[in-house]
Amino acid sequence: MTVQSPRFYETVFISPPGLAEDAVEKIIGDVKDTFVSRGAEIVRIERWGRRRLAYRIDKQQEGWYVLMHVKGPGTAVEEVERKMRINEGVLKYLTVRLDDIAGAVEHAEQRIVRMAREEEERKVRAAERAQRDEERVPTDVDEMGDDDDEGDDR
Amino acid sequence: MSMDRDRDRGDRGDRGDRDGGRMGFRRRRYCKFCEDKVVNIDYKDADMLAGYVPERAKLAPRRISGTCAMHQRKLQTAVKQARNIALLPFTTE
Repeated sequence: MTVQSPRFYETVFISPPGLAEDAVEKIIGDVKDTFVSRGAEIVRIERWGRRRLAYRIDKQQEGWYVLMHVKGPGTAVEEVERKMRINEGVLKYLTVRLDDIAGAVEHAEQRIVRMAREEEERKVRAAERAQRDEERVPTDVDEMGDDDDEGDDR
Repeated sequence: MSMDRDRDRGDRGDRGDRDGGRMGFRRRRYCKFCEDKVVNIDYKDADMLAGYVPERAKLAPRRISGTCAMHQRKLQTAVKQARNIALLPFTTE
């Protein structure tokens, strides 16, 4: 067989929300071991925590999201995916091959920072909205009634 | 008949010079991804992608979003990946 240049993959999997956090950690450990046993190397792991699913999977509305960046052969990915299909602790998974791991990692770090900031902003806005709702005064009639004499001509 | 049409067209051209032939405002179309020099569109950025799949969760066509051809293709891939991992819905209920 020809020598392969290293490949990079990004695997995301979702575990059922009913699992405890350490049960998820155990799955992460298993996945990690599988990767390593097949000659892959874990670059980094991201835990997104419990997140709402965009659609129901196995009657679940939420799931634990875990992302892994790995470097290694495709056979390792094959084996990990095979095990995930069997594992009841994995609702769904997605593996994407990356062209540029450094870029992907950097991008991921930026995304984490950005998401944290957006989350913060969301909280602030929610607080503001709550406050506004409290001191809500019924708004008066809109000002749309002008008769449009300032046409397009000028 | 054909003369009528010609005259019509001329008329419209005169008006069109001022407001682009459209009533109301004219929005300049541009590709947001080109502006930010995005190389790869990340399927994990669900909030950003959600802006491109209005209402029925279908990907907005280029004529709406103004995305360039290259980025539309990447966007398409990203949306499909995001759907796969339940970050975006396939459809609304």
